[in-house]
Amino acid sequence: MGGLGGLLSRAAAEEMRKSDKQVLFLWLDGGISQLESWDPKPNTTFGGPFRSIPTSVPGIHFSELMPKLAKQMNRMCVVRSLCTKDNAHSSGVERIQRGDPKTRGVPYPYFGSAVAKLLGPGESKLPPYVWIKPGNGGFRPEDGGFLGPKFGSLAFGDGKPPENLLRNPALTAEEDDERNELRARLNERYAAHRAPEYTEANSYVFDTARELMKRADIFDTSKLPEREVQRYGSHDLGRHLLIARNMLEAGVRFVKVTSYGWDTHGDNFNAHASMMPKLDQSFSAILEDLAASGQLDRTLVIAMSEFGRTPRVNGHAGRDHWPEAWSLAMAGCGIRKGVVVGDTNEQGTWVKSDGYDIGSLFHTWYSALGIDSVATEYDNHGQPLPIAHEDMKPIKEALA
Amino acid sequence: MSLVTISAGAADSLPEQIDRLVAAKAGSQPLAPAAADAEFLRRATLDFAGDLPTPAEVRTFLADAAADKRIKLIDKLIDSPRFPERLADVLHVMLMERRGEDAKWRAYLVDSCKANKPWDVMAREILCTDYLDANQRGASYFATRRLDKEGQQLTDYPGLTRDVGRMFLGVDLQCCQCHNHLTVKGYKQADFNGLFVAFQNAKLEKAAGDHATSWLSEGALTAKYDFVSVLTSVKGQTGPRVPFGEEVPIPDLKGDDMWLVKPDRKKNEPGKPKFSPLQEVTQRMATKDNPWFVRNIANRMWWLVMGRGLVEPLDLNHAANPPSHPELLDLLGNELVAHNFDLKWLIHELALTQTYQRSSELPSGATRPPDDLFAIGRERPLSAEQLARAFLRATGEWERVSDNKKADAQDDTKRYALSDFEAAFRTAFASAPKEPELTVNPTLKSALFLRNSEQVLWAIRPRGENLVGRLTALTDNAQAAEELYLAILARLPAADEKADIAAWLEKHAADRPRAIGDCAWALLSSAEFFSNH
Amino acid sequence: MNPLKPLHVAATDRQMVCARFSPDGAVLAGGAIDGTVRRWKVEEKKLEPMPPLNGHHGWVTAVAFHPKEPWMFTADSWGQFRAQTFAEDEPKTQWKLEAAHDGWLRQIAITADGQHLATCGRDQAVRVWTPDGKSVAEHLHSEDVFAITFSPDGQQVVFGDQHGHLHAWDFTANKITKSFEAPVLFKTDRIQDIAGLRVLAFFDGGKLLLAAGTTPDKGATIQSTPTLLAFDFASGELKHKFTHGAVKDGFIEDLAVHPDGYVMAVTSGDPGNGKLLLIRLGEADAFDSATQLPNCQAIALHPDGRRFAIASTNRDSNGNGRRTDKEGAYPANTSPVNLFELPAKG
Repeated sequence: MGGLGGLLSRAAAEEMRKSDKQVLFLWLDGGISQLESWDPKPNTTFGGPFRSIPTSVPGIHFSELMPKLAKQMNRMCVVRSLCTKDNAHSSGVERIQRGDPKTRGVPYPYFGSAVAKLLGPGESKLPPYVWIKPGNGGFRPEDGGFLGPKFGSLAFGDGKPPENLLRNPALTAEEDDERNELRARLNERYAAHRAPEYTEANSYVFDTARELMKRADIFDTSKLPEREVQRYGSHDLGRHLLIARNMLEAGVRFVKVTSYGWDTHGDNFNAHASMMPKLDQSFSAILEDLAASGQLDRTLVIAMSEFGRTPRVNGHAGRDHWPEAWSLAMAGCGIRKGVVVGDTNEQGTWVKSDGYDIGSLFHTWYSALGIDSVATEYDNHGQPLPIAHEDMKPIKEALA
Repeated sequence: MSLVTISAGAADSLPEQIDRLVAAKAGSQPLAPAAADAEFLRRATLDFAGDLPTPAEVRTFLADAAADKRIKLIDKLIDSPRFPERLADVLHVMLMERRGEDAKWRAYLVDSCKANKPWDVMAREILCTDYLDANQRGASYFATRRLDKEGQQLTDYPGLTRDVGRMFLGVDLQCCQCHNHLTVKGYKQADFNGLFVAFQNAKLEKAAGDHATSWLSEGALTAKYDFVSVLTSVKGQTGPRVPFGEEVPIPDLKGDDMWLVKPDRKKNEPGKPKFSPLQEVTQRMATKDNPWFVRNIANRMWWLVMGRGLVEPLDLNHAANPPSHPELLDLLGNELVAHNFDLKWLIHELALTQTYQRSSELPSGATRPPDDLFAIGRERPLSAEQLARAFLRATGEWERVSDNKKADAQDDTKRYALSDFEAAFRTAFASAPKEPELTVNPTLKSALFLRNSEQVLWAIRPRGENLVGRLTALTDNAQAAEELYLAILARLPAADEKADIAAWLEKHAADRPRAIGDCAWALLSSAEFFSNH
Repeated sequence: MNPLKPLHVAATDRQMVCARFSPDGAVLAGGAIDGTVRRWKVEEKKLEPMPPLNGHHGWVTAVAFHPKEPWMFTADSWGQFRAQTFAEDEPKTQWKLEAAHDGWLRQIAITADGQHLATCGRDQAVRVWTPDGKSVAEHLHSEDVFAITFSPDGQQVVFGDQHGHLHAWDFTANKITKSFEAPVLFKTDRIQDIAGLRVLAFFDGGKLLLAAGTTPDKGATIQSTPTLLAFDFASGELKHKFTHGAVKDGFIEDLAVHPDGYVMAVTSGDPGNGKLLLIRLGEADAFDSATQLPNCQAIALHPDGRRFAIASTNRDSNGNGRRTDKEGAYPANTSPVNLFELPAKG
């Protein structure tokens, strides 16, 4: 199962790989409070201390903690009617990011791995699934699920490249290129008398390595212009979203950015008071930049967590996990602008309208990317597998 | 599925019988000729000594006119002290799939291979270890490592059960935990769960007192295991059972009678039950009477030597996925059993076949024959262990690095110890944990390692009598080219290759050490170096 | 005094975040998270509920009483600041400023003579008022201001911010006269700036400035250790540092200075974890404590110096996912208010 193998219809697979669509996936790990962000319920039993503010879409309000994003609501689609099954982190994160399809006895790929597989790396020849996160980086094969380790993510810890990515300081660029040409030339003789798969795979990884090395500027945090850093915020999330923007501009197919620390079981309100402005600043900056460059129309943008937070405030002034009724935000490619999908009741406890599980969102995202989420199937060693939960479908109101 | 008996009195040697069966299936498909001497020498040395031949060895072999030189080479390599270490490496990667390193486990494998321990004995020791026997206890790592708790995950009994099936029987029963296999008719829920119940009855214990390693204690099993199909809702029940075999009856013991040694909760002693499901299952499973067990090891040894199993994938043996050469697999199984599961013997026999010696070169323009005909040699992956060794050998740094006991960053000649290189190569080239290493798999990580890592760049700088050091001193570029190819690719360069190298060296004559280093690098990064072809 | 048996426990249907006794000791008032001010008539061994006061929004975050006049000042997290009478069932509102601060107004301080009030909030402002609701001075700080108190002479407002910077502001001269650093009360974890300061108070006639709250260790599910600092107000020297317990013990949320010269502090940590600590400055451990009250949010010392009230939180206040009561409703947490009496000195 190499190359285009792994999808049932070769013709469809080839078409999809011509796509120029990209994805920005902002993962707010721990569970951002929907009541302190996308779905405020000010002055109610569980509403917390904050006010709400109007957004650029009449009738829709956000928490007062996100004034900049409020101005961007006209670009966004906020789903307030998420209702999912898992309220634990260790399993919940996996289930959400893998789309929680019907159990098939195989681990499904993370959304990023799936897009890397379905749409391929595109013209940039850069790795198709990149993950920018605090802490450690490296090659993360486990995201690939049954698609295999090749579709794992390439993680940039603190925006730093994985080991050996940067050209060794003992080499100049010219020398590096020259000796690489020598390698390729000497390789030709061997390749001429062998089956192509291995030598092609070998060339592919050396080429990708060269591309990545050439573009070392896009993740070198020391090269970020000071003005930009100030605009996005000189904190992890700001820097990482700035790097993400550069990666998207360079043509990386799928960029995931993770912000940790949203699991506010204690001191939830001061915590959100501190963190929301940073999210507000950096996320609105990247939306603005993507819109200004025209790139937003072909980039699917998603911001979400693994669940929301309880309406009930616990004794530690915190909120606990709440998969029953929570929100996510989307923008960009294929997504309808300026709408809210579904709503919660006055107190914010339950979804009033139809609740959506994550499978519906996977359908929606694939559709937004121009992928037929029902007809497309994986071919896992002869086992046909749907790309999203087979009992669910795309959310029409969310699609442009 | 029972083994087919080969007619008695067959006069041909086993290698000849093997070649005949391969040729029979290949039919009209032309079989590739034998690999050239240099290619053969390299292949065999890597396969059976896990090492590269030295330039001197290459020259000697090429010059040797004896008709039986290849047979003598095979004999020499397999009888060398390197062979058991190489086989131990192979078994380690195959059985642990990069879940971790453990000194006692490694020692167990090496000692067992040195003693040429029969495979069925090894399998029984691994699956049901006598933890108090100092010679055996390292074998417990196979199971104990898999039962280590990872964070908040539940102890992975299903994973251990699945791997026992995959590695010792050649069957992947993963799907059968919850329902009969959707596509494989022969795999049933009872097969998985019969094995599962034996392992789930065991508990991981920390090393303490007489137990120098982690070990598994067993509970007193009294009841069968109930399961339901999530697809059909049909219920089932099983006691301990060898997949596709008979169920082991659970004795009707009660109370204190269940125990050889009663558990003592106060002293935290788990006790020892009279009825040991692990023992019962292992004794029945890892024997010559279990065709699945026999076929699995025969298939895996074939894969090791030929690069592709007779059953592919190696862990999906069932009625709808028959071996490419059923008679051949049965032959190997029978012979292995007749030779008391002597892996060294089987590997030796396989190495003597023409099938093994076949060239992997494809004439230009020719299409590749179907893999399962073994009509042409295969490019096979080199393990991280082989690569580290080969790399150090090729660059002439093997002695320096392996003799260096302690790494000293300040001293260029003592900068790395062998373990540093092994670890770096493992990081760059080994598969992710729990992934089998079956095919050549160039990765971005490995490409970046080759391009930019300190270790690689260090090795190709001139240093005493290492490769680059020696060749920098040579003035004759043609000779330098020859030495390069011999040291790194274990062959002589063709005329145009010599010309390319000479041209490069002339162009960069101003900095000859660097130029030599770059040539060395180009060859060391080549597809030719990184596969076993 | 562990456990300390309460004289009376008054149940509420909402969590409370602050509580104070009126100067005459007749009324106990506190702010709830539903925008109401809860009140009780204080009897010898009992708290008798009075009708709540409406009109606030969000959380009623602070309650303060005028030392002489029958006025109670309240504030909320939307920025409203108002004055009203408090003893009657239906008090009269004296004045109301909807936007005394832009958003979360955290604390109210009042001078001993009642001539000035001060407020602080998330809008980074510290404002001084006269009791008739007129603004007399304003200091725009650079950060969220978490706590304020007046110096005993009523001339200065001491305020503390998110980073644990403490400043004394002479509001008439409009000058910062001194600053203290309490960096232990702050930590940045990932992108969360954790403010550990909760209370400022003077001790020993103004000799010492107390800063109480927590030493943060980890953010998100916050892990932090209750901390009380005492600065020599004149020299700025840190004289005492008191910590209690471990990171699960959380914040000192509120404190009262007892006339006998010790500090009564209440803590709230992990759900279920709450303590009353009696602390003599300079001693490493609390000399007495009570640990049976989960998550204490406020402590009010009665003018008689003998009785005190603690607003804590109900047990089982936390839990992931759907937790409904017997009727299938999703109940809010509450703040039982415990009336205590200090044990007689033996």
